[in-house]
Amino acid sequence: MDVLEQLRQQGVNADLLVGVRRYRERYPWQDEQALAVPQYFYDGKEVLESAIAALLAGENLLLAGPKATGKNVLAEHLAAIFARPEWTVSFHIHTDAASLIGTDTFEAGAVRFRPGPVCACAEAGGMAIFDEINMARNEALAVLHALLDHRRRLDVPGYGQLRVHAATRFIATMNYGYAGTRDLNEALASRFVVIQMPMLDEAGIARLLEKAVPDLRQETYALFAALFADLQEKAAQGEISAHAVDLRGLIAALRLMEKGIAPRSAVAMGITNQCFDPDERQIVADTVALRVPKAYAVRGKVR
Amino acid sequence: MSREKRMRRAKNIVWTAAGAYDFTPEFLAFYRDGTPDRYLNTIVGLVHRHYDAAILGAFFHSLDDSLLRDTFLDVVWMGLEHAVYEREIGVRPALFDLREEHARRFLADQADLSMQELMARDDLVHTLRAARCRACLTGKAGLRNPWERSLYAALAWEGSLATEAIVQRAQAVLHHYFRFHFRDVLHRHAWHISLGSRMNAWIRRAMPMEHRFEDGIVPARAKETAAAGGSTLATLRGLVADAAPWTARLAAEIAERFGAPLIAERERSAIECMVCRGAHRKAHLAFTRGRVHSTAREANAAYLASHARVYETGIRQLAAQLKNTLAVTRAPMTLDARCGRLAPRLVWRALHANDGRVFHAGEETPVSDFSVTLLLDASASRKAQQGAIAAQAYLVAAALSRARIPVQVVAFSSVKGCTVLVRLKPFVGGEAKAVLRYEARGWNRDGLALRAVRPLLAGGRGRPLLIVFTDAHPADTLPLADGMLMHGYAGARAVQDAADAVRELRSGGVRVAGIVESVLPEGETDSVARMVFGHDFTRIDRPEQLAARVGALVARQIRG
Repeated sequence: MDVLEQLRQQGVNADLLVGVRRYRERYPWQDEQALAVPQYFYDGKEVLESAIAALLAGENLLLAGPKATGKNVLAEHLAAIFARPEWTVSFHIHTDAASLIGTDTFEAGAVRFRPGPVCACAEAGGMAIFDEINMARNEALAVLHALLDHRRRLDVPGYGQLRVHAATRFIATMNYGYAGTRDLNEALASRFVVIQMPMLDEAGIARLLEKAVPDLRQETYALFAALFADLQEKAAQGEISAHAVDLRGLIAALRLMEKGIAPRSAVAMGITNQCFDPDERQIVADTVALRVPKAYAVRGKVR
Repeated sequence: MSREKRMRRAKNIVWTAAGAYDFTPEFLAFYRDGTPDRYLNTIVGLVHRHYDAAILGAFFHSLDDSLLRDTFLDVVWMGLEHAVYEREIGVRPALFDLREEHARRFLADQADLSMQELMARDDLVHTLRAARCRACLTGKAGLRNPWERSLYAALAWEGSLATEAIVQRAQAVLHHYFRFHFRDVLHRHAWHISLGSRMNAWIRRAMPMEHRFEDGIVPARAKETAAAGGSTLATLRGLVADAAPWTARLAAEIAERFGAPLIAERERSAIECMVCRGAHRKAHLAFTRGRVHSTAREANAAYLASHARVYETGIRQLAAQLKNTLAVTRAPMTLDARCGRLAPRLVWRALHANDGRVFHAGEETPVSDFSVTLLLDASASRKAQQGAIAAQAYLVAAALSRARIPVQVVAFSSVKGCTVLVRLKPFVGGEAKAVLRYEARGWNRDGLALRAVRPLLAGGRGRPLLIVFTDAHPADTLPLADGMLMHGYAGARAVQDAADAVRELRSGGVRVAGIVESVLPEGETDSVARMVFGHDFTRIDRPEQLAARVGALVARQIRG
């Protein structure tokens, strides 16, 4: 289904859709690099409207929230909506200016500048997705300040100034409180508008599971969505960490069940065994046992 | 698996089934080997989910006076189990497996009971339970006694029943099969079985509470009166105005109240000579290990138990935050430099770009090499919050220990001019729960305690961090000596004395931060805390705030 048609069916504000069409007409993608087709579409009218409005207004967008709230799904979906290629940069503690902007290299007997993903994206007018932006040191991120504010330019030492394509947009995602994350520097945070991503409710999780692993028995989606909601609540209450609240793991478990793995074993592989603390693993196993039967037919055949 | 872990596991099963975490389950089920019974704990949680806890709770408590209380409760739970199973099985197919697993284990457990266990068990309840397990596994209950068969059938309550109907059904069963008289519990008339009211009253007679003041200890109200006063002796009339000399009798009294001495007398005397100078020259110091057994410990443990979930959650959250901070700030930053470890991939820059930074140098961040001392104000003004303060100190100590940060806990108060530092938990070899021996009494001569704690900081590793739990209200009966004048130890002078002590600690390389908790208005305490600690303090109004705020405070100290 066409991305914009899908938004229309979700009831997204028609004025925003008009804005997106105008953006697309003004900045048509004509390069060889193919536009990625997202595997999932984000399901949430209010959040989509907020995000689209922010990008149409030329703002940088920060998506903040815990696991399984669809931050990356939304970012990829936005790239498809705006019909621009995406450059995803995964941030970590060793991220530095060189890995973002680029660095000198020695090639064919001469020193050349090898552009990093941020430079490449800014020149091409793409959608830069800064994944887990708060895992990098604030000192390393200072190089982005001039790029993300009204100046919209990048000074590359020894190579002059890079002007940012007008179509370029910056989207960042952020977990907080997890191992390795830190508070975002105020100077950087003020350059973004922030959407606090809402937790998916059971119905939303069930729809997402159905899109990810279609053609299973309808009851399956409700059952495993309820399991996920149990784990989410248990993590929110501080009884377990967020390790087990893993939507990807749950989807993987469903796929394993499709291939014939017993339900509790499949869930153990996808979720329970994500916990390395034995006490936590036991609590998660108990939570799974309260929802997932030993024998369960995902497609009408008991495994 | 330890008992605490088994309890936590069982509670989590109940909470998962209930879909709520804001209650403490009254009933938990375990197998003979101590393993939580997943099925029965799920039933407990589902009952909480589907029925009105207040109405059911009132009904259960109405059985408290019964001789057969336990039997009645088990019988009623069997009916509840049937109802809630029927209600939930359609949306929770895993219940079938859980019930089967429970049935197998229950019947297996009964096969090998000792004589004592056989004598201790309730035969009727066991018979009914076994019948239900057999019915689950084989389809047949296997009961021969007509009365038992009739009772068993009467406990097959429907899933569609509402709470009031459940209570009525339970009353009907107990009335019919056990023939005791009762009145309708919904109208607040209690069950009375067997023991008359006079017998009950005699058995349950409570001992009268005695209120007494310890020698030299004045209630908090009087402290405020003294704090409002000036610097004349008249303000202190009727109170202890001068310190007693250090005598064996005083030492014995301190030992009796606060526990055995922590250090030898010679060492104590040397510290006192060094610290008790100037305005504190008339004061004494004592260092003790705390009393091993005390009523305070029992009261504090009861408080902690009644708020276990909040504090256990706080421990986990704070420990995770501390580990995270250490992991992040511990990682050295690699910089291109003109000396250090050669970076082969950068060598070409020296040849072709005239850039000599072809080495890597690491920015050292030795932040894990430190220890923490918690210093608790244990004066009488903290008496009303004694349990909460003990629990909070326990939370912080336990979380620091989990994050592998050495921690000791010291409480201080002043009696008869002697400031006593009680080490509740040492750096090495002590468990966090020893902090529950915290007992609030006496006065608080904060400035002297802050100076006196310094020798105790040396037992830790690396750079010390001192966190002071305080109500930002220093006060003592022993005045400050100022030449021939004596100024009351309260108000601005006491605060200044504490601020001076903190400054001296910081100039000696000790990091100091405060955790303020007070019944006084925020504006009043915050201004005092700012004077004493600068920006390095945080205010706690509720225990749920502790983990996040203390974590941020410690993280700030770690990052420097």
